[in-house]
Amino acid sequence: MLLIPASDGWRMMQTAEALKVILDRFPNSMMVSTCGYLSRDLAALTKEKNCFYLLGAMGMAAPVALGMAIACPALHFVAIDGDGSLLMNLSCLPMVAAQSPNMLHVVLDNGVHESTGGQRRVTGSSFTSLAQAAGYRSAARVDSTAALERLALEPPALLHIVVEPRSGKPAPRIATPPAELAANATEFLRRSESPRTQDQEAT
Amino acid sequence: MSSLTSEPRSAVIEHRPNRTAQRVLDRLHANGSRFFTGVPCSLLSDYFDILEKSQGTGDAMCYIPATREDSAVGVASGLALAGERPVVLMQNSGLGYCLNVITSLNLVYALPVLFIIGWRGHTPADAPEHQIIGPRLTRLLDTFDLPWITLQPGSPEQSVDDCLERQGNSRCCSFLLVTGGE
Repeated sequence: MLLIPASDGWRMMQTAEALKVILDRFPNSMMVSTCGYLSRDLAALTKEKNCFYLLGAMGMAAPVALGMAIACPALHFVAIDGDGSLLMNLSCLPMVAAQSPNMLHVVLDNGVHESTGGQRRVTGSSFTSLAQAAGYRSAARVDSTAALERLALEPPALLHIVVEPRSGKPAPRIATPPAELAANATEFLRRSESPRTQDQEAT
Repeated sequence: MSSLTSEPRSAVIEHRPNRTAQRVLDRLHANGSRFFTGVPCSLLSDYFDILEKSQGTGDAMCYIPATREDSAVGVASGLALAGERPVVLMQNSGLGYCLNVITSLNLVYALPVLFIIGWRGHTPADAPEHQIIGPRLTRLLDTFDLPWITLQPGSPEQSVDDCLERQGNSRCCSFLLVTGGE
């Protein structure tokens, strides 16, 4: 397992580090993040409008991203799931695979149900194997930002990122009203329509 | 009846889909609904039959099979955020799975979805697994102020229009209940 060298020894990747790499690598993609600490972390890292934050509906990050991807086939999407939220709705994997969207399905895996207090989650499964068996075109597991920065996967792809549980306080609750969160996402999708459509609207 | 006048036993019985389903879907399609998702219900078999046979490209109705009803609502919510007018079809047994998505996503963010629900357990004559939720279906919807109407087979377009009107007026999700009485 590759680890990031640090001055005080070897350490695991942190969620915020992984999210920063994802945001940097996919500035034009629409992100859909799962409920709990992940959406709060993401909202704390970016003010851009290419993120749709789920506050509830655990397990729905990939289905929501899939719906967007079906409506907007020219765009790229990143569903940001947690290990617990993906396990809650594993049956979304075949549905995503069957539609073959232009989508990266990220699983930030800290090994526990962190947002409810760090309780044990069901362990023993391989997310990459599950995705491949479901029909995803590619799947990979990484534990370092170096690997995360250089990885290119053919969509629909599952990217299993191993991270350590957070050591400090989680990011604050998202203050933006949900209606505005939805409006921001809709606006980003509308603006990102293919240039050909925009040209037609202009004439 | 004499064997000379009866139908030959080997004749293929042509399945004519119920016109009601076609009229409902056509009305929704004409209103701008391109995408339909859900999990089958035997009461809605004509609907699924039409959707499965649809081209799915361009402006034609596009069917997205879902693995479970709550995921169908998730997909529909993504479609709604992208400006589409999604329709979700399911048996009422799937509504229980959907309640978390409806109450913590659709109603909280106001993401409009029109539901076509096959109403099993509408009568006591139906199978036992439907006898708890069947008689309570409309009360369950009422608990969350979710508007519903029962499809009138004699005027399917009017039923669709009524359902769409309620979707726009109040809680953004509305429910067309199909009892299979047509």
